[in-house]
Amino acid sequence: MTDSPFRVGFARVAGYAALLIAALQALGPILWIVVGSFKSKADFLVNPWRLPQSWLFHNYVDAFVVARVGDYVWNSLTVVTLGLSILLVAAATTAYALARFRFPGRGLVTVIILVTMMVPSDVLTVPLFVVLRSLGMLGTFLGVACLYAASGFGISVFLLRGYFMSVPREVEEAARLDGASTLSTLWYIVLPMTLPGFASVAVIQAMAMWNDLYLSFVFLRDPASATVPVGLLNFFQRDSVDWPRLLAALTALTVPVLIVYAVLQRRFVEGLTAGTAK
Amino acid sequence: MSGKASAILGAIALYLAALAWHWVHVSKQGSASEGTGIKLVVFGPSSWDGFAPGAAEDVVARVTGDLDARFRIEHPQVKQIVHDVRGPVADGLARLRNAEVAGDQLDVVVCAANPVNTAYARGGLIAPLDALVTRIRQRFTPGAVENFTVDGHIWAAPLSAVNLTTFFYNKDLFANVGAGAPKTYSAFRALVPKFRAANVIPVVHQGKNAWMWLFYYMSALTQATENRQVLFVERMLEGTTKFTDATNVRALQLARDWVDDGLLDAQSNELDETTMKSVFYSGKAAAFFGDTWDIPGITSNVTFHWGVFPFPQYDSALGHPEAFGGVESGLCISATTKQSSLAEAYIEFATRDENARRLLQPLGAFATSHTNVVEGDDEISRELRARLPAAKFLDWIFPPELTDFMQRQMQAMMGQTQTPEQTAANIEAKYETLVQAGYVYKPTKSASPAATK
Amino acid sequence: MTRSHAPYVLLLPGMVLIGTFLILPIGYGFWLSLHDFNGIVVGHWTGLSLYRRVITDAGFHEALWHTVVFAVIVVVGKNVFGLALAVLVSLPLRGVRAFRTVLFLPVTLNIIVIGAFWTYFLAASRFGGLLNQALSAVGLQGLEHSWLGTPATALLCVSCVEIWRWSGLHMLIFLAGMQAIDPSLYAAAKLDGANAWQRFRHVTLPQLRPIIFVSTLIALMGAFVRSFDVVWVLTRAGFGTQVVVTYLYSEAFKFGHFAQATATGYILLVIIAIFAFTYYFLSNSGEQHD
Repeated sequence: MTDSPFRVGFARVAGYAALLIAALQALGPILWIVVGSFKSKADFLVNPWRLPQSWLFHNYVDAFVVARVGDYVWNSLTVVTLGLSILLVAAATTAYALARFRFPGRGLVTVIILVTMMVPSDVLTVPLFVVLRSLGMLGTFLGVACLYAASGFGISVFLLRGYFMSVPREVEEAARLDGASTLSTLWYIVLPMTLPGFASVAVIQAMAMWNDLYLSFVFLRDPASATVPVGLLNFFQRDSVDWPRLLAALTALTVPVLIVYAVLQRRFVEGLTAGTAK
Repeated sequence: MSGKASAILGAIALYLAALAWHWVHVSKQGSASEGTGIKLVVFGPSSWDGFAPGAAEDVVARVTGDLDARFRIEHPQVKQIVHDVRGPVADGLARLRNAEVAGDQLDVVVCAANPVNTAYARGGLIAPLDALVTRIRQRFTPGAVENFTVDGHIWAAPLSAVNLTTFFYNKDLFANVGAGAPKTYSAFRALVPKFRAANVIPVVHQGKNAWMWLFYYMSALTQATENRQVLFVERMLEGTTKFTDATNVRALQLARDWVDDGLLDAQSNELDETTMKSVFYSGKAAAFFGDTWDIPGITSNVTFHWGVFPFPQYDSALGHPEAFGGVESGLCISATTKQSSLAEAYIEFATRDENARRLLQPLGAFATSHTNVVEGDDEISRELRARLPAAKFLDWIFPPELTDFMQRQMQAMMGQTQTPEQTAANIEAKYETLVQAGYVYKPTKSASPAATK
Repeated sequence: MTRSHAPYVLLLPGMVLIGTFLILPIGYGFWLSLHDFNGIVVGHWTGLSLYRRVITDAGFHEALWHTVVFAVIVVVGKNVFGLALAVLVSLPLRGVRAFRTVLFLPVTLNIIVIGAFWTYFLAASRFGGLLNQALSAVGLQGLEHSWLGTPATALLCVSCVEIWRWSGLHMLIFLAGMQAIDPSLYAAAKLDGANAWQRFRHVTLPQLRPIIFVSTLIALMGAFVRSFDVVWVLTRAGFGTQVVVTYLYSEAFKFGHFAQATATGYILLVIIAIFAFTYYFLSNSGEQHD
């Protein structure tokens, strides 16, 4: 190593310090949410920063029993799983085509995808209504899932294209010479090698779909189909938001999401250290 | 296949099966309701638009279920009455419009008076109810029906408590500086140094919600125009009087004085409804200018003695203070309903005195839309009742683009980043661009100054 | 499936998806913007007059300017912090992995809660604002300020909250990209005597070029098209933070000018397209060597 031991030691301390600061800025609001979820309404309003006068657990119970947050979670899970499946299939195939094949119309397709990323959803409300209604998908999970998939499509394609392009061509050529079809190459060779990237895209899009308020507010109007963000709007009553209960619901919802993310992190985004084609 | 892999696959399969079951379950729920018998849908664009708004959830459920049960006895062909009341107030208009565009079934719509006047009626979202309301008119107070009269038509049958703008104050904090409720502006201003010594903010406001600043403007304009504010506003909108007219600038200045004199916190623009109320509830501020719809929140959150007082009298002003408001909500008919006679029957049923009394009783309101339904006999209710009749909210007369612009201008002025003269000039300029784009003031029949009871 | 047909078959699912749910509505929406449309009933043909009205509206110019400033700050910020965080969590330190989850947290948060937290945090000391209280506690009372209530600082604060919110996402994007870099490149660089910083500059950054391109594109789109939430929840689009999407929302849902709002959306599309394609072509010319 060209770095002296002193510089290494200092760098290590600096590294930890920086990590700590970064963690603090990320965790701060979480701590606020968790602490707030144990307060009573009045306690929270008087001073949202101090520790609770008394630690109450009923907010968590209320969130699930009274506000029936569990129902929203099921709905969100359904829509997100559906949307993610559609999205990943469509985006992976498209990204692979753009990454590895030169064909007439390649530039056009890229431009079209770029353009579709640039339109705010507000503008498309009415046209989307008409399209979904003619397809008979208005108010259905499938309809909203398709909308989610479509809105995440552009970003996913570009991300996946970037990751696919970093796979060494020799590996694919080798598979091709062995007689593998394009789809098999994609599924058996390219995807496993880009698993970190693919998993990242899946995680990012799942997050976006999970947190989407606008599309589900407009297109899933039946209270029984409400997803989590729409359901959380119900906490905003007439003249007083029940903040502690809302925070309890949010804590309860964020924890599983984090666990899932942490697990996926370790297994997929950590990556394959040895690589497969070296 | 290794054990771990098959375990994971098994878990995924289980997960997908659970989701599939849930998906089918929810879809069946949706179609099951289109089963046998007639279904009536009562729609509330926001969570404010339901029966007994502000009361506890179980109370609301009880009175609503009660009413529906009695209605179904009279109309046995109705198998199901669905109440869809959700969402934040700001999104109410969008929710109603989306539901109608999507072709959802909407029969009765519970509407607030403000959007009826500013959006629903002229936007084609609801249908007029002249025949029905004229027939049952004696149930309602005259002002109640006025609030829902636009362009000469009646758009709702009133059914709600009366709301009034009012100051709320912390009696304990005021007592600490040796004062009671101030009657005049100068009396209030005299308390500023005392509050400052006690480290208390005299008045706060939810300035982040730009629309709330108009309360100050309207109250000041009322006094500056000797209580002829509606006429004055009409003349400004017709173009015969400019927004830069001395009286209007004076009104803006009177509003601005609150901040300049140290009464109103200069950083109120940072506060929204939650943060403002938390400042008040925690005793950091002594008063705020709000509306009686804030009362349920106050009663459940404060730990001190509280009271109300009307907007104070400006000594130099010529008019006397008026409270704004009136009957707040009513029952309308959706423009897209296919069961208008049934919807009308439901509206007629709900607004009968005995039913209205049951629906309004949980609110303990000091006054309601019905002449024969009066609750609230405590000191505060009596005090509020004494301030009736209410004056009409002026932002029902302005076109929404101008209202929105004025709200932002007020926000800037009260944040001390521009002068009243500048504010007036900006508003006049905006008005002129609207006129150039084709705006013409259409007087609503109810715009005459006398008819605000 | 023959080799020559392969790309077209691959493109099918994606094109059907966006064809139905994006391209068709975009085209229909454009047609609507050429008529007098109030959200429910399509009126008479107005041609491009609505576009002219939007382009000449002072409110639109203001919103556009704010959007551009916001976008510049946010795009640079997200990339810089995202990359910095990615590097930070790749350091050969023990326990660094745990931080990867922690730093992603802000991305998972609900916007309403983000708004509540930062509003409380940035409020005046007497309203319980932690930042101002902290400043005065360390003796910097002079720096106390109405962060979200003053025009210049409001936009800056909104930009910072947006950067804070999404850095974890860009960290993830860069991390995944860094995983794919061939370790032998680093080994070779070390043999050549490069230190950590030089390795970063000459191995990591060049290898990450396609990823940086995508990250910038995402940040750009986010700033222009998806900035409604963060602005609304912090300042309700007041105090100099009105951006084009909040302007559009007011036009559509407060005033009922649906057609005009749609026209605004398409004008925004053209503007973003100019930015994005310029960036794309500039990057692509450097990208041809792969």
